[in-house]
Amino acid sequence: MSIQTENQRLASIDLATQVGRFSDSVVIATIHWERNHELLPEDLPNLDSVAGWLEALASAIADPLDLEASLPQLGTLDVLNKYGQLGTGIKALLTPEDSNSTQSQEAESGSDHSEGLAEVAQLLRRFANLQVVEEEVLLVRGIFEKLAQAMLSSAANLLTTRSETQWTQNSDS
Amino acid sequence: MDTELRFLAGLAIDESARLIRATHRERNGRGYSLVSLLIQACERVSIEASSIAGQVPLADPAVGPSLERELYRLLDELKLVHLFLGMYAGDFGRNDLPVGLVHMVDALVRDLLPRGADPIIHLSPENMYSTLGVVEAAKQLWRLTPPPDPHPVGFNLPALNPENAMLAPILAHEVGHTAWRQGLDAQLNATADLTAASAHLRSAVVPGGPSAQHLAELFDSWRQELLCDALAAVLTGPSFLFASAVFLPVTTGGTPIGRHPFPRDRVAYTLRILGELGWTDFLQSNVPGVYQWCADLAGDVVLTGHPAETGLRAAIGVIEPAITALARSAATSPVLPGRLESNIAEFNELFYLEVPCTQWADSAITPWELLAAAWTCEIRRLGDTPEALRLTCYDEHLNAFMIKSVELAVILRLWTEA
Repeated sequence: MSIQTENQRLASIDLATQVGRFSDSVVIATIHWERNHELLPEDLPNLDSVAGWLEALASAIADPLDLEASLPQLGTLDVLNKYGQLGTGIKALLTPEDSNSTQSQEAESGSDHSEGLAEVAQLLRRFANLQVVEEEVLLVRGIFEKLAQAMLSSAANLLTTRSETQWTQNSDS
Repeated sequence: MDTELRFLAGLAIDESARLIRATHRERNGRGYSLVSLLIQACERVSIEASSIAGQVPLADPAVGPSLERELYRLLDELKLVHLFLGMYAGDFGRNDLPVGLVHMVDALVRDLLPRGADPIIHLSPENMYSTLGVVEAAKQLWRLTPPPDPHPVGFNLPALNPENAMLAPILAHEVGHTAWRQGLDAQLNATADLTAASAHLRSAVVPGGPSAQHLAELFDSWRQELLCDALAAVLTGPSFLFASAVFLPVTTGGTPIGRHPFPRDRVAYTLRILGELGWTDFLQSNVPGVYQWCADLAGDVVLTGHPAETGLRAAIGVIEPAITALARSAATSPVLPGRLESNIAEFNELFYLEVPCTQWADSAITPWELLAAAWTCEIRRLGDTPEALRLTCYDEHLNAFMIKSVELAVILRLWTEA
């Protein structure tokens, strides 16, 4: 019986595309803020849904065995892991470019990733309430530009890589 | 940036038009709802690409990179459209398959998929069964206007052996994966004791073993596989035991922990479901040899004793009642032991004469009743041994006969209903 890897591959492409769109909606919100120090009405639901998504992910990473919270997020965690975003640690994205390598080594544990995501979610919530300073908005923009680009690459890689194990029997390789 | 955006938008618009033209050959028949949905997706991509092109020259160049990424995402969506069109190009409205096979697929849709389906039968180069719910797998293609039910679902069958009726229970398992994506996953989450399962998994996190996240992923996969087994077992009864004993095969002992539960554990679970449904007496009286062989192997799972193995098996064990209950409520028109027991002698007489049996008492026989009766009679005729299981499964003449029997039984049902 199939391990459904073709379904999984397609679902991963779909999630990467969705996360990419999420990310660019945040980037565009930061551009609106930079122009007028205000957000447009259509930015608020986007920021709210991205923050909610990050909080759910943070919770799933913090305790993957809290199954009620983690089961719905496993697909997204898988996509982010494929790209290596969690391996690098979103928390590392919060740090300046030149210290990324050190941070990425430190940010190996699930709790670090979880805290990083929760911090970004908090930042988005404050951004939606216009309780941020310019440096923080630039930080948000930088994070989500990287994430959007990464998800584009991830989807493209998945599109061109059909798993050799698709529809194979009892194989998990 | 303006030039690049115009260039990319032009590519997306041209490719959308090319893909829509490519669909003009096929306009009717089963599976065509997919073509229709893919055309809608192309039209939406074209409109969105035109909208981006309409923003050029950009009033605010800062949005350029985001718009450029969106155009690449739209182009990726068109690649998916191409993939689906290419994969199923020869399958829309096809009429080269045995009618009985088509009816059997229709019965699986009717009996297992809560939201129905427009089935597309596809002969796959892989020697494997699977289903692909296209809309569920590529939600972004229809994110603005989710399509109404029923959605197209690909039924992928082994290209060189698509007409194996005796393995239809395996296809029933695969249809379970689509049922899972159509909402059974949420129903299981609502009723299963995930707190107790979680406690077992926590005890399985040990140094050198799988991480907590990996254990959660394995648990997620195992529960889906077991629900698919349960759906197939409830619907097709002993046929699922026989088919999976050959297909897994049940002899497989120790296997590394993977995305599927251990084969012998799966057969043990099938036996428990059949017992709960009242099949044990039927099996012990009609095919005692095969039943005992399966039961013995299922009771002899080769284990390593690793905490991950122990924890996963225990975690699945605590949600097993919820899985079984969900399968029993979700599978409609299952084969029932009483009806089979009452009619198997009459079936057997006709079966030996190679006369298709289409009716028991006043009602047409369902495909699942036909399969359960045929499996049982043929195993018995061949001596009720494990060898009989294998020979029955891959007997081409028998499989052709069963496909024809399903066709005739469905004709009778349609005639009666009319």
